[in-house]
Amino acid sequence: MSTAVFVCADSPDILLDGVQAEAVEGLCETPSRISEKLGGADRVVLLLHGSHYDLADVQKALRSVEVDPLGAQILDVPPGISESDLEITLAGLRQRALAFAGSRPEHQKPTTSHVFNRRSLFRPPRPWYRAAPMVDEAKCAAENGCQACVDVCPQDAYRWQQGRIHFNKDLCEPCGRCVSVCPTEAISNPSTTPEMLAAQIRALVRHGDASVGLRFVCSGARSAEPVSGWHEIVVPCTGMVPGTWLLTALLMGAGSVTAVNCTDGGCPRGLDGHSRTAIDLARSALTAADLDPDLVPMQMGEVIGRPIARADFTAPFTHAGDAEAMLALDSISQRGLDVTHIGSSLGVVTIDSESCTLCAQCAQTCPTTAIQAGFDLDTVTLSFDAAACTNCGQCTIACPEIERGAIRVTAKIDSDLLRAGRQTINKGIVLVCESCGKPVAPAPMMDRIGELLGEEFEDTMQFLSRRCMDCRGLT
Amino acid sequence: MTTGSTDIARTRQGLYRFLGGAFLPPDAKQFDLLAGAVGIMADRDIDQFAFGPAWRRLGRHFPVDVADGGLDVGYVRLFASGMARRVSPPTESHYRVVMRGGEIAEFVAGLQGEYRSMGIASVGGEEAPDHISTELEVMSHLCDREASAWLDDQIVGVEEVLDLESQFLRQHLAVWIPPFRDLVHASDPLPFYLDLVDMVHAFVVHDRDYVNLIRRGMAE
Repeated sequence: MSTAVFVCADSPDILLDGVQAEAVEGLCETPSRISEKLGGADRVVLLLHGSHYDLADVQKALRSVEVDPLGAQILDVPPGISESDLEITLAGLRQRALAFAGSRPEHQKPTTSHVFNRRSLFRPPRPWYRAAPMVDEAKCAAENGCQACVDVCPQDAYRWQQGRIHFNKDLCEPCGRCVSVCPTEAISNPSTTPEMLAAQIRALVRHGDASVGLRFVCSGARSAEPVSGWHEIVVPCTGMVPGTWLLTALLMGAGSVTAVNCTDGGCPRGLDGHSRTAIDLARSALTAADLDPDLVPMQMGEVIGRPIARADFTAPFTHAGDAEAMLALDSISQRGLDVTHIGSSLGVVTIDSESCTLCAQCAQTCPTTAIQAGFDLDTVTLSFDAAACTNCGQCTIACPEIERGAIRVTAKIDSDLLRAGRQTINKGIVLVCESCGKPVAPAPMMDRIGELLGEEFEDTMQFLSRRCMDCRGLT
Repeated sequence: MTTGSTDIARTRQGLYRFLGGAFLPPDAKQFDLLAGAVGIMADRDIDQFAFGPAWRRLGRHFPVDVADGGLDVGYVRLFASGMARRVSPPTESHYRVVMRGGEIAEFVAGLQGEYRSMGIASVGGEEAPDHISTELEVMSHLCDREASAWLDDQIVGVEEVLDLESQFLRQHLAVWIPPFRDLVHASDPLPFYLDLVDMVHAFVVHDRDYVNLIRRGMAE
């Protein structure tokens, strides 16, 4: 795989010296000119200038040379950007393009920017394509009741029905919330994969002589005035970025990280609150770690901090990467992180052993197996691994004793728990069949059923508690 | 160039017919016709659509020498009798009914009822009503009706046909073509059939979205 970089030679604002890109005359107006110069490259970075190109034309030109447009990195070069910043930006885009793993037809969402009128009906505008999410049914936990995507989608594009997720692409205005929230990482957006984000950020921090600032920006946002040292990480909507991602980028070696909404007037999807919450979480975690919270500023500033670390991540921008980031932060501070925050994508499950009946519905539902149930001959154990919990809350929906407070999930980062691995959170006796010795049911569950049925059924309950399903009919 | 709505409907009609023909048992005469159609489609600006690269890859196989290329054997092995390999039946009922343990006759009879309600008395040749060639031919027929309605300036007629297209894609082709495509990929097919199934997958998924885009535009 190789990447070709083309720059529109007509732009007076782009400084070409030192930028490793092939200048193409009239590239913005006639993007098909790349076909003569592509060579064997199958990934493309285009440096264009905002108002002079039609995205439908650019995508068509890429398809004609069999380059997937969803993987192409197109930069509207901000006027006045310095040569050194452009070089660093370009290094990041090259690596992001290389990390693109391809798309499926389901990922392509045709879009037109025009409002149809009678005339355009007969001559419809050519579509351009956005990357839409796609659900991998083999990974999806809908069968166990998971509806995390349904809960977060601002356009109601997801519907859960009989253990399956139905996705309506027509309703979707790709924002990526479903992608970052899905506990099993069954939902993908090929233009914004964890691998692409990681590759871009690694390249940006590697190429900077000085500290670099990273700002996550919405794909729909116009290029802002360039501020020296700050580089953009484009995502479908900054509402998809959890606070742990901001910290991950910081721990990968950035000097400062923030997220910028696409418009001053607020996010059209109503997700601007999410980016503020994400920034607030990151700042809280930094404060708890005795570090400067302004490394994740609420707004992009002139000053870029000094990198606090360059940690090695095995899976950045995934749920496993979130836990890795918090442990890396904890290693720096050596204080033990304990941050309770509504924006946490990590959770801590606690059980009230008085009201939990050990029915194990929580373990059966948990999409990430953070909660597991273990059965011995005469005991049942519920265990919990904080590093695997995504704070999705599906266990609380499944719990039949939720009204009595049997289970609780707290949006919380607890480095001691993350480090501790799997821990027992409840344990109880399993009643054994007096006839054959097989397990009958957890004792607290039978006690609770007896309590609900009342004294009238005491004899029945005693019988049911002493015989397994197989032996009940034989007595 | 494909620019006007009539042209686009005619291009889609042609592509459905082409793909329907390519999924029939290979025959030298039929494949000569398909090779001719590839040449005609070169002027239709297919790259403006997301399935453009899939069409290019498929088009490169033409002209096809059916006997020399082992296409006839490959067809039977892939779609009818796989011997040691897996078979990928090109019929909707396999994915919608057989794999879920239902009644094929009931499903196929229901499909024939749908064809009648669309005003289609008889489609295809010897193929079953739920064979991929038949279903693609049904879509080709609907696109033909759509193109005529555009040409006659019959907006209401266009809307009615687009509704039928959308419904048929949503309830049939777009549901079973993705698992069919996955099964073909797992069945070690000849490169021609690999590219053919990728093209039909890309085209059907795109057409479902594209038809809905136009319908939404008309509703506004």
